[in-house]
Amino acid sequence: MNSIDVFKRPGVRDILAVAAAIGASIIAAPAGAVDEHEVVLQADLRGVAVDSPLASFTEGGLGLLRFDAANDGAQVGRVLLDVSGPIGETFRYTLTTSGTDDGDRHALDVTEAYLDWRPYPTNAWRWRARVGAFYAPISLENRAIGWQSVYSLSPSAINTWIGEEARTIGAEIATTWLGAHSDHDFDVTLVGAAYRWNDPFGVLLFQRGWGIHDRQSPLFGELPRMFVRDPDNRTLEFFHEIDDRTGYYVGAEIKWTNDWLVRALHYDNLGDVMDASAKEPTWRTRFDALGARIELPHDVTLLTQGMLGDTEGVPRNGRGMFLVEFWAYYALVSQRYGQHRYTARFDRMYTDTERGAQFFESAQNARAWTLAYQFDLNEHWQFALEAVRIEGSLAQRADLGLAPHATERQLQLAVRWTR
Amino acid sequence: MDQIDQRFVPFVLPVRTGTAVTFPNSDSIAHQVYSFSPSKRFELGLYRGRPYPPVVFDKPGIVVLGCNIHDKMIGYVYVTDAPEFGKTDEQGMWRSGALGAGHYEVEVWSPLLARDEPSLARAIELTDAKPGELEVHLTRALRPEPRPQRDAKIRDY
Repeated sequence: MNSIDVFKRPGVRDILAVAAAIGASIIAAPAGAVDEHEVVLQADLRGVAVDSPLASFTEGGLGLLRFDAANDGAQVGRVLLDVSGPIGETFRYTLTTSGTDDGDRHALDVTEAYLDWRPYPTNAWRWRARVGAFYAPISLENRAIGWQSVYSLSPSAINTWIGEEARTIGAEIATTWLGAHSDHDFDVTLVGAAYRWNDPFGVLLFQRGWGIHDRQSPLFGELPRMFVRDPDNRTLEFFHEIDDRTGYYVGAEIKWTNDWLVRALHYDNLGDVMDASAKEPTWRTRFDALGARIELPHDVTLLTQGMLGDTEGVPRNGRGMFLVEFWAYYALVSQRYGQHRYTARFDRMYTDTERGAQFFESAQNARAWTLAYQFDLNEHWQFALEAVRIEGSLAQRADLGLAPHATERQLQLAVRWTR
Repeated sequence: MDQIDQRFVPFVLPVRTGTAVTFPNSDSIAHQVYSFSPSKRFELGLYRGRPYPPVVFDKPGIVVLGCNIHDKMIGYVYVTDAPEFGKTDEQGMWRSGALGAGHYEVEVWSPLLARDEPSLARAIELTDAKPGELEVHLTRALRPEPRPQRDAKIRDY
């Protein structure tokens, strides 16, 4: 079966239609009846200036930023419609849709859609279960509605990749020991999930390396393929089930007095790479992620996350196997000062082909600095200015006749209206 | 007991046993209030705007409040049978003009007391002649108070 067929399966479009109907009925219903439902609409417009010799990956290039020199001027950052609310006493639904106006398959598409069950705690152990499509608890930056970073426009390389290729389409269960309710200073959460429809996970990291931007891949979207070997296969799609195997993650989080937080997660999609019959072969991707967030006096936040893992794949001809190791980390400092927020972040990104570089060697060694300033005029208007500079090498650029080493710079001014 | 910027306000509410307490929600987002403390178990399903009917705290004890959506929200209803009670002010002072001569037990409590803080129960003898005064000193630093979360867009993924 080719990947286009997946979108023609009965059910997928029905989900979208139902989701749209839920959204429409909530918006149309009289205000009193929807008191507990929350509808968030955001329009994010950007002024963009880019200094880079490379075309953006969104155009099929090997640039690591969302925009390239051809995009200078006004751009759509994101149109976001997020609807959430209760279903009965202990269930909640969340539906996040967004559009990025960059030629993706649907003008508005789903980034998350899930049902969340939170029974009331009857003792210090509180349980929570989710089913649907949602983000694994990895990012410590993407804390705002729509999985947006609170600290900058573009999240770190690690969380950029999560937004691009990772989505839990399955079920997750978590339990939190509510220490504060028994006179302790800390909460402990344990989480585990089983999921499918994430078999191509790793292909973008293999082709393009780590990037830094805020474009989240929607569930039914696509990106242009950077290395086209087959003229019938010019796109990358991320959320498919190919090998009929279920992946998992397990994680833990500890929070002290709400000011210190440490999060760890082990992820393995258990992909069966030997099934090379699919249009997009399965990638076996596994990693460990570790992060900490510290809230200091004067509204200063320190954040760091690291990730270490590998991804394995087999080319469509079934011959040979690649193994790409990857790691990345970042450190971020941010201060909120009244309506102002100032953020600086350093990112370090690395990939290397350990085995089977038969087409090209996937190898990246790069550093990035991000400086951001945000101004919240009121609850509806936010202005943000962000500069990103990525410098480093990406070996596979040579395969396309480009210089492996490059410096890319991007300046963005965002005007965000939220209601 | 209000909910403002994802905090219970006040952080500690002392009430006499049998008092009915309302739980308005001044935030623009919905909260789901619960307690599983032995002296009062209750749940208020997800709501914003209009509050539920008041909750009667009919047994003495410390009732820890939580929000099932926002784990960092925590508040306390201190339910007591004591003839006189109250909250200290910014300077840590509390005055009562209602007590006559006699022997009294004074108990000081805060959810922010260090776990190893020695007992803060004291005795005081009051006479009609002059006002009594009692100073209680903490031997350990208080734990930090929860911070407000003013950004309603935060969902904590």
